[in-house]
Amino acid sequence: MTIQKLIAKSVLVLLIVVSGTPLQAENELHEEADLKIDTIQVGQPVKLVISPKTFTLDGKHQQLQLIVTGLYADGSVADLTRAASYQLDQPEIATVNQRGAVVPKSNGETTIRAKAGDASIEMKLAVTNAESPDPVSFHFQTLPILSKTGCSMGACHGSPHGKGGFRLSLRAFDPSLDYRTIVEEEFGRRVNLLEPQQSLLLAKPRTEIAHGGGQRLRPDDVEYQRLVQWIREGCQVDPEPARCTSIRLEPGEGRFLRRPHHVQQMRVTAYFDDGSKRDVTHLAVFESSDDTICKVSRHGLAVGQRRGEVAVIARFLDQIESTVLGFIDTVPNFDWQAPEPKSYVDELVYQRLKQFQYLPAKICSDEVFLRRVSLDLTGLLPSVEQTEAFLADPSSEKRPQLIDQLLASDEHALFWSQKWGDLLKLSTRQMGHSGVLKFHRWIKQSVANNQPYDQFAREILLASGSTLSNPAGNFYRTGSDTSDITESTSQLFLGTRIGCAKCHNHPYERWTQDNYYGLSAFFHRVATRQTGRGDEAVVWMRREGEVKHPVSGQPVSPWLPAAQEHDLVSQSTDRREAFAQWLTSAGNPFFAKVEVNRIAAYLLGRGIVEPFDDHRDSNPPANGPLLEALAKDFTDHKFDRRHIIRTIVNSNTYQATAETNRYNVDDARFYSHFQPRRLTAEQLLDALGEVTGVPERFVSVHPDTKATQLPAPDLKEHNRGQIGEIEFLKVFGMPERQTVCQCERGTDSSLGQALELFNGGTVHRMVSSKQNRIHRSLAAGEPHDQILKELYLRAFSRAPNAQELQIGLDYLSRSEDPGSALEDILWALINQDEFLFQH
Amino acid sequence: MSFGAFSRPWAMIALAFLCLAGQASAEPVIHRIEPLNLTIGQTTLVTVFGDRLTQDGREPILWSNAPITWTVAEPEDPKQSKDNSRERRFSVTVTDQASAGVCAIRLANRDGISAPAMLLLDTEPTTKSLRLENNRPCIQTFTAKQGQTFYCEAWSRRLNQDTDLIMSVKNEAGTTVASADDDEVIGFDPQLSFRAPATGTYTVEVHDNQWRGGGQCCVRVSSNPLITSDPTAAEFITQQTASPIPLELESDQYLTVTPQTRAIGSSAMLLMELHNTAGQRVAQTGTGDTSDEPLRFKVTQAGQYQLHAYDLVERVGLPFDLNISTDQAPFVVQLDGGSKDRHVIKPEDEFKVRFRVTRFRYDGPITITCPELTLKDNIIPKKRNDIEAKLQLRSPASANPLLTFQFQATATLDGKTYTTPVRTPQQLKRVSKGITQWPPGLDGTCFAFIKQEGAKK
Repeated sequence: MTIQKLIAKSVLVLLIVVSGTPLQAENELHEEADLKIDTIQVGQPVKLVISPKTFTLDGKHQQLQLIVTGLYADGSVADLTRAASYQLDQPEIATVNQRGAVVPKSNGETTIRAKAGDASIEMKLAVTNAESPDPVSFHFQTLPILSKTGCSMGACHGSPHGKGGFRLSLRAFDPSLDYRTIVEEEFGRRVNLLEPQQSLLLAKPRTEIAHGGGQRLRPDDVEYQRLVQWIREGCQVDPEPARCTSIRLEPGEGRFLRRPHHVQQMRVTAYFDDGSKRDVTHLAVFESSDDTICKVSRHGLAVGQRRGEVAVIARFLDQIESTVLGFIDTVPNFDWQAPEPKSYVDELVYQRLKQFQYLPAKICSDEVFLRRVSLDLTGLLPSVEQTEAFLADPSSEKRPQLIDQLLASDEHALFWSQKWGDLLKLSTRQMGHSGVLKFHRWIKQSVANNQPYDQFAREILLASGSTLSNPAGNFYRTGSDTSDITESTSQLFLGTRIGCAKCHNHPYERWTQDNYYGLSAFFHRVATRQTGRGDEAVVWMRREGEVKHPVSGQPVSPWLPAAQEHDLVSQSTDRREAFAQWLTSAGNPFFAKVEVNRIAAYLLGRGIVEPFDDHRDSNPPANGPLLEALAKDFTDHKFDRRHIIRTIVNSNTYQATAETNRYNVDDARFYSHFQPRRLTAEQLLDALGEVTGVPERFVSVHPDTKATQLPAPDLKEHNRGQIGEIEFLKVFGMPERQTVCQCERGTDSSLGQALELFNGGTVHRMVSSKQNRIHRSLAAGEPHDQILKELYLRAFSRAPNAQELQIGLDYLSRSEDPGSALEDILWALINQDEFLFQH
Repeated sequence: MSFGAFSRPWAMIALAFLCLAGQASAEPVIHRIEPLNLTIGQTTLVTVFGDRLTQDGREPILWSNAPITWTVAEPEDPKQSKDNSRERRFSVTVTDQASAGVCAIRLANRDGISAPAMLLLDTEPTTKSLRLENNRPCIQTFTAKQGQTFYCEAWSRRLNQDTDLIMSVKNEAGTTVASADDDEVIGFDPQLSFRAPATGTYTVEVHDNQWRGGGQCCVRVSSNPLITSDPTAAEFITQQTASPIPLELESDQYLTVTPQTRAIGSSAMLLMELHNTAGQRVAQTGTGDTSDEPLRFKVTQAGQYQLHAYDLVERVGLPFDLNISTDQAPFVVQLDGGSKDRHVIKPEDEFKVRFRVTRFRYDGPITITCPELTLKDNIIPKKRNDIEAKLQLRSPASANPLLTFQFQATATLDGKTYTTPVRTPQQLKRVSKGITQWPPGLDGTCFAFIKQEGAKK
């Protein structure tokens, strides 16, 4: 039977695309009526806590969101803001609506008493200037409303070119531009001062006139009414507006809500540079980092959907703040059982699993462990000899011993160098042929020698001179300008995608445009120049030149997060020294975490922070204490990367089986079981070569080089043809290395991949080669059962079970041509999930 | 590749033209020389592989810039035809006066003169000349006693080979005990000093960065490096620090500061700045280029100037030499790229050569001269950048039909005469910029093969 015939007969389990959680659509406003909210069960709280304890509402447009929290005897907490009843000593001063929001009525002071169950609590409220005219503020009401309704978001009018000819600055980043656009542009047609409701600004989001963004406002919305009033008042702009310097989001971190108490009212307080503060909950935009776990209503009510942890993000003007909420479900019949922890990794993972009531999976078999750890540490399948020796070894220490052996291997250094090759954009397009090979050799040497990570980073960041004699300098050839280098450095070593802040304050993070150019200042004087000597470039620091702020046009001084003044000054004229010193100091809040998270992601299939190069408050770690502990361990061990790898792969967490139990089947975040993942393109090609005995040969590199050891994807044969089966690798996601983002490496599945495996040229050539392993074995007269056993050992690192062996032998006995039959069996094996996935 | 294009008439004409052009060029071409090294004071049998090495059965003339004597040798294979124009053998003796390093040879006959090929002049007889093979390293073994220091050098790129070598030293167990890639000073040829950790046999492995075959290299293992640099022995001022050099300059002087770094074994990459009395920078050079590019400045205001010279990447303690001169010509003249530095002529014939000038704030006329030749149209006029001069032999041809000569370019300005040698086009395209040990006598030297009257054509 030929391969082609088998295609028709065989059933291939299609690869399931496991993609990340889809991001919440930007500024999707959740109406509370649309959310499934459990009835709040007040029960008998032993105590109530109200926030704030005192507050002054200054002006008739201000509001105050109260938060009432019930504390229970069992230690649990519940948000009772909407379940509590409110009584005011002076009801003429203010009212409290059903959302717990206080609306002023007249000047004066009053006590508000909240009551839930048998418990009660009080707060003091003062109202001032309730009767003063208090026109609607353009800066602090109009713009936040446009932001809250999504008008100024990036996908709508906040995009660089706007939408439908109407362009706003992204999230009200540039108020004066927005004012001109709304009030003056197009001959003022967007606002109608005589009939404010007929203004285009309102008619469109009402969908009275066709609006691509759909309905964003309704006439009974408070936001709508404020906009009407602002237009009616003559579209006034605040003469000298105070600047909002920060916002505070409450409640703070560490709040875990157990069902049925799966709701939490949030409050946002804005602080201004004139010393004032205002409650801006009703004007703030709320988002959740994971809508499948929690949705946040437009009024700031976080509603848990299922168990898990999320960051709730609040944004007001260009300020952003986030907090983490945990939602816990009670799982029926849950009975905690776990293997004895081997290290702090297991302890902290189990703590989190216990908290969210996920049961950890059992420890995987030796066969699974051997295949998994070999692929993770060397990128290669274990050989038959290694497998047989490992499985026959009775020692209880054989797993740690194997780990040490693999970590010391040349293959490990080469495979992990390829990971860094992805991140450092090693490609001939960026640094020429010689540059790639030399930089790759430098990285490999660093991994092989287990160079401390801080030294590794310093040597890259401070590289200067010839890129031939100091290959780390090639890093500076991977960026076309200062911005590229700043963004790459930030993503690589700070785990921050700072690129957005180049044009405006970061929409999801605290990074501002000022911060961006402050960081850029460290790299602005780096210069590179080709010398004409092969692929050589020289990297050096100019002695002058300042980065200029695109808005102010003024030179920007170097800036670092949470750094002291003296941290910003280099000992030499090379500004990078100050940056590298700050970056690699033990107290740096980013450096160690980013690397241990990256290592965890490589080994566990998912970063503690995921994506692993996107650390931000609004993307909380799945296990904060674990990330902290790994980072501390890393720092304590002088940035020893191999120590962290060893710690993780020796843990139960890493060695857990991929098989789920009924209590962890829906967990993809807390490491309750191993996450199966498709082999990378290079791993797959090497594995195919190993199983078939027809390894891919690459030219222009060492003759024994495997795909998992290639220095770059675009090497050419002596600068002419391709060096090997690059197309196959591309189909399976080998990155072109255009960005420092690991996301460039494709991990999904596609029809093209299925076709490659069905009858692609590479697979066909390997399977049908008369010089392949099965034909050689047949020619040597090896018995069929021995050939089958060896095939299974190579492909799956395990022997076939009795049923598998019998099926294979039966098939061979029915076949007239054993060679062809073995090709069929080989083809079927390499198309199984057990082969294609690391599990 | 599609052959469709060749069905078009213009393509056929172009192809025919290319074929004719190829036939017209009959000069000898050297592809390969084995071995690639000559031992000073010894005689070596050298085989040259190439095209058109003989002409009508007559052996070519061998020229070198090094003090050598040579004779034609019998071919290694006695069955080989004496007319084999693709392989010739010579017996070459390098005199004791030769300096270690790189030398060039050329072959000449009545149809032309070859481009130069490079050889290593060595003092170490154990140096091996090796040919790189695809995917396999070149190997040289040596024995060492524990603690003994060896210098392992690869010579290839400096010998005009298209290679980028990597070197490793392995012990008897095959473990790498030392390795080297690019050298900061010499570039693509690796070298290392190695202290034997144990007594035994060691292997030096050399392979191309891309595992390419075809190229050649010399692997030298010795207790001393072939060339020892001694920066302090240079004639020029040696600067060990970055302190500025005061210069008293007169108005209208042409200042030329020529640095030397790699040539004296230093990896310094000089950045030079000239500051005027007010401390303002008035000239700068050396921003990143590894070649020793001179700083040039025409003084418009007399006074005290400060010359700052420092390493581009701010390393300290690296030696460099500066030739500070106000006598160097404010122009560089070279033979035009289209004009070869070699000619086949009859004594009475006139031949043409184009000269091109790069001026540095000097617009006046420049005169080209050569003692061996009579020149016409040899003055590059004011503000012009090139001239085609007509040349003829000045004296009757000597017994040696291969004549070498050099051009000089001269200009007089404000009563002061500036003279500089005319440079020749780059003949060694594979050699890096800023190469050290550039064979003397290559740049600026032109060749003429003199066809004697009545000689057989």
